[in-house]
Amino acid sequence: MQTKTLKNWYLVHKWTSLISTLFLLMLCLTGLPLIFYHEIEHALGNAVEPPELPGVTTQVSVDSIIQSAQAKRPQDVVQYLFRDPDEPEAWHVTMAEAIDAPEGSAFYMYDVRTGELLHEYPVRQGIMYFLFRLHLDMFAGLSGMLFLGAMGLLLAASLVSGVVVYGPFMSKLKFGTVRANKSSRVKWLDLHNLLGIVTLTWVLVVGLTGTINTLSLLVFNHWQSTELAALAQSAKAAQPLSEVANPASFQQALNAVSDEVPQGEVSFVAFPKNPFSTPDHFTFFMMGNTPLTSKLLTPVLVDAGTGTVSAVGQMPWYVTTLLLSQPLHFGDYAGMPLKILWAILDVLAIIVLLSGVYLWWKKRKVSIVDRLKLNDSESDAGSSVAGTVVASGAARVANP
Amino acid sequence: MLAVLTIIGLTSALFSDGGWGDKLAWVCLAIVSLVSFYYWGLKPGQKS
Repeated sequence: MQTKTLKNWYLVHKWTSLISTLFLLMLCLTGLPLIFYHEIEHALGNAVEPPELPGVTTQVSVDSIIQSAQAKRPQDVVQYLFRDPDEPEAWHVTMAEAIDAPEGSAFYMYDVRTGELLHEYPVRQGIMYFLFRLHLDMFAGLSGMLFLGAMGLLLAASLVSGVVVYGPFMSKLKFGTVRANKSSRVKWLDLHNLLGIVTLTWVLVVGLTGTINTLSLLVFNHWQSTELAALAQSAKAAQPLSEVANPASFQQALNAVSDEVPQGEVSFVAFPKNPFSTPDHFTFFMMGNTPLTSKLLTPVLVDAGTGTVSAVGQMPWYVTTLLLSQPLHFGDYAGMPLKILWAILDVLAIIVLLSGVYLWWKKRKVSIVDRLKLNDSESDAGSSVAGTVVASGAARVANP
Repeated sequence: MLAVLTIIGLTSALFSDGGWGDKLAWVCLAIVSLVSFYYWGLKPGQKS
């Protein structure tokens, strides 16, 4: 490789890493507990499991659940209903001060079998909420999300340039060599290279899917203004909801969807006038019944006046990409063993980041060419493997 | 090799719901993690 080319790649690696490291470190540190969000929230008492009710197979009308939630906060409106595929015995109700409010005011969990209120989740409070918001947008909304997305792109550039720079340093060194008997800097350089190359693909995938996730608001805004608007246009309600004297019940709408899309499970429902819906429809977002389609959503518009299905839509490629990127970022799609592996890889990524900062701090005024030569002097030049690789690296740089 | 193992580990569980795909994901990503600890733990001069 040409000296100039290697220098350029090194500069790319150095500056993309330096600019993004602080934020990536924050993302890795906050992401670590977020891998176990569900378990920690349960341990803290902020979430509960539906009770065991052996032999009970009946379900109450969802209308009674909605009425109960509405009675608890008469000044608010029901914004969404959720089902968690891991907790089919529960409906989750999101209340908000206005139907189009960006954040909910209350979040209830109801038992589908008894209609009993099981739990009221604390809204916008607690350590996990703090960590989540820090990880999501640093409490800065869309601009914070996009900023972190840009850090994700810098990470990708840092990883690619890191691999290019890794070659001359490591090509003659046995894979995985950590020269623990050399200086502290050499030891940490080797460890940085080892852990960096081993976790490379995982970090790249988690980083890029995280970047895609930072676009979620923009993606859904675009979907609402284009695809959802077109779907609503093609599926006009029989009568505007505001002019319907006796609108259909939610349970009627739910039954209609179950008949029309029997192979799907409800993920969440946006109520009329919600940004995820239209003024006259409930919009049901259905999950498929295969492992892959269960991670995707199909929108179903139900006329809120008549309770009949108006249209079944398809999500465009960009929403599908976003939805598929989510499990690949969260690591929550193959049980506790995958979560533990996700945590281990996250810790390894933290070590790569910290060791990178350490290496830069120790040799921040040394050029890449001198660094290769310096490696030579810190190794047993000539006879050792390290000496060979450094000598060959330096020779390659000097004589491209 | 590590990249292939990681990609198999990341994608196989997407096509599985508690079945073989999940287990394949665990094995592949566990190997990737163990490679780090194996080489990290090797003493200089030890054969890899």
